[in-house]
Amino acid sequence: MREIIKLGLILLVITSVAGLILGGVNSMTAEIIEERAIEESLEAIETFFPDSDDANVVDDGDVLAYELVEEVYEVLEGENVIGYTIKTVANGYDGPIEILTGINMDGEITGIEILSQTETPGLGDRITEEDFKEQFAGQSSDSELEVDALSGATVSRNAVVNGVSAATDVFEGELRN
Amino acid sequence: MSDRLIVSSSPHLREDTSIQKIMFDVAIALIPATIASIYFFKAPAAMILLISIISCLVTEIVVQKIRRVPVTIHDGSALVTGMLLALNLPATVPLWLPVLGSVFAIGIVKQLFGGVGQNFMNPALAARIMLTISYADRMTGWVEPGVDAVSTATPLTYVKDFTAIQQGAPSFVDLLIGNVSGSMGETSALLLIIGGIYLVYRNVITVKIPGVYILTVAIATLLYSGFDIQYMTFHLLSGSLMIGAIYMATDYASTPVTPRGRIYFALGCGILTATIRLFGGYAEGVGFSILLMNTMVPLIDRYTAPKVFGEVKKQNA
Amino acid sequence: MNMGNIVKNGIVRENPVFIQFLGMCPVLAVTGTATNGLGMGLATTAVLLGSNTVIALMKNFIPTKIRIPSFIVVIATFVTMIGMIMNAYLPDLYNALGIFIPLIVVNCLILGRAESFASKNPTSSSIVDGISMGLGFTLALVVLGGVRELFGSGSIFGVDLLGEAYPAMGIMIQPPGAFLALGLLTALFNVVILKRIK
Repeated sequence: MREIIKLGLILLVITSVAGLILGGVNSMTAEIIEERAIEESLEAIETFFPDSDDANVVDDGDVLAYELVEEVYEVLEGENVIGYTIKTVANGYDGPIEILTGINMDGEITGIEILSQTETPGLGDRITEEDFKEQFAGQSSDSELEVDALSGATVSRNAVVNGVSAATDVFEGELRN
Repeated sequence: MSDRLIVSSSPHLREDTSIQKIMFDVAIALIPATIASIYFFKAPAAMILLISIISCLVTEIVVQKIRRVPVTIHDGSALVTGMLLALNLPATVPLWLPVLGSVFAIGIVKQLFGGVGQNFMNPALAARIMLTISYADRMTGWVEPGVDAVSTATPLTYVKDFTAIQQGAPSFVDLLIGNVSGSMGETSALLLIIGGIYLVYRNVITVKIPGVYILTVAIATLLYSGFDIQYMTFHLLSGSLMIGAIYMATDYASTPVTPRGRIYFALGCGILTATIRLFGGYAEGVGFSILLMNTMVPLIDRYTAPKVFGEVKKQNA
Repeated sequence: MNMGNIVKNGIVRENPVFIQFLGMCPVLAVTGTATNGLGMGLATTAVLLGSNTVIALMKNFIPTKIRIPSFIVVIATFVTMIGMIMNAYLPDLYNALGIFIPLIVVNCLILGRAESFASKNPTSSSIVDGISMGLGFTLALVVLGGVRELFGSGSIFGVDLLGEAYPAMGIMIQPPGAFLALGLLTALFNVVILKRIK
């Protein structure tokens, strides 16, 4: 009995030290990682809306209550809202997939970007290829999405389609008009 | 005294067959389909055949020289691999493609594993799949038979994702004769079957593997289409089912040795082929099925090994 | 033990990939390009160096009965740390390696060295062992990635070498190509290098 307690304590010491060190490293890198994520979102917004001057975060409870929707940016050209960029998180084959969808005020998808994913390399991670992402651009937000099948990666493909559909849903439901 | 008393290990009874005899029988059986492929696809087909056979033979010589083992191109196995490989290619492929396929088939799949009789997969088929994965566009450059080379879909696309034959599909007569698009040697079901009958007659193959294989696909397609005989016949006559079942699923080295094992092997091939054709992403599944089952052979052999006379069931310890 | 021998063992005689066949998951999965191979190799080397050092230092403190969980905690800490640092400073590589960064934890090369070397040898030689094994691993991954990239995309480290006309052998950068290349390179390694040093 005493030995078990002793061993447990030693393990506790080791794990606590490990935890402390990780906490330290995390606090050093978390900010950089987050900044880069925002930068990536902004860069993607640039490519969706080449004319954009600025983007604001939409902080509206109704909008963020939609399923899968994580963040919404309204994209501005001068004073006018020219479209929205919506970040959704869908469930892929192997964890969450972060998807950014750009939709202009005419209800046309201007492009999508996969911000992060952990799909199977060689199969599911083909959702990050241009050929796949390009299919979304130009489709209308009020109709069913038409996307080719990805052989061997049905779950990953469907996850992206779900994510983009969630973005079009929130656009149709709350943001359009 | 020593001349009269010969001590040798088993087997003491040998059949009067040799690799050479078997391989030349296979080559003869392939001749009708080969001639038909040249007739339908003209000069390019002849070129591909020639290049494929020559590069198989050359690869065999070169690798055997490197391995410092006796050169055995006279046994005809490289010739058969060359013929089969060529017959598995569309007539439109660039001429370096059969060369690459031959080097892969003979150099890697056959010789690296120890040469004739040691390959765990059918060399020609492994090369075909390798080429299909690498050069999908070139390997599906199907053309209508004839000089004009109009590119077109293979017959199987008329039944892919459907439960009945679609409009515009080739007729059964064309499928039988081979007047359809596809790989050079897989178009004529009739000529392939004639070759198969010759092989069975010559005792080179038994009807077991091709029979069970084709029957399984037949039953599966019949069930899937709701007992549409035409749909089933179409499936049986198109694609590489015939060439695969008769010539490649019967490769000695890469199939089970026990009769019961061979039935399981053929059954597996049939189920996989039907599954890929009916539910998979590809229109054709013969190649993948046979290769997959090739890798299962050691397992099948292990579980179908006949009981040795006098063997006692292992007691539970 | 002689330091020179430790280095030679790590890189050639007991090469983690070509001789010991350890850590096959990243070896096969991320070597589609030479760059990914290099990144994975260096990340593994960093973890190996860290875990070997710490475990050699702590070997008298850790009771034998709980050594495996302790080793794993140390290794996991280093892997998570390196993952965070890569995510912050090398985002492209981090994204390319994806799930295989956290999976370094279960790379048996690292636990293997901890168990069979660092827990029995002085700190200085454990450090050298960590670096040598890591470099042996890196070397193998770069060669494998380079060969696969050359045949599969016609380039090495993203530099186009074979030109537009080269018909890339797609299979080489796909999973089957990993096995083909590994088998052929192992054979080559055995014939060319092992014969010479024996």
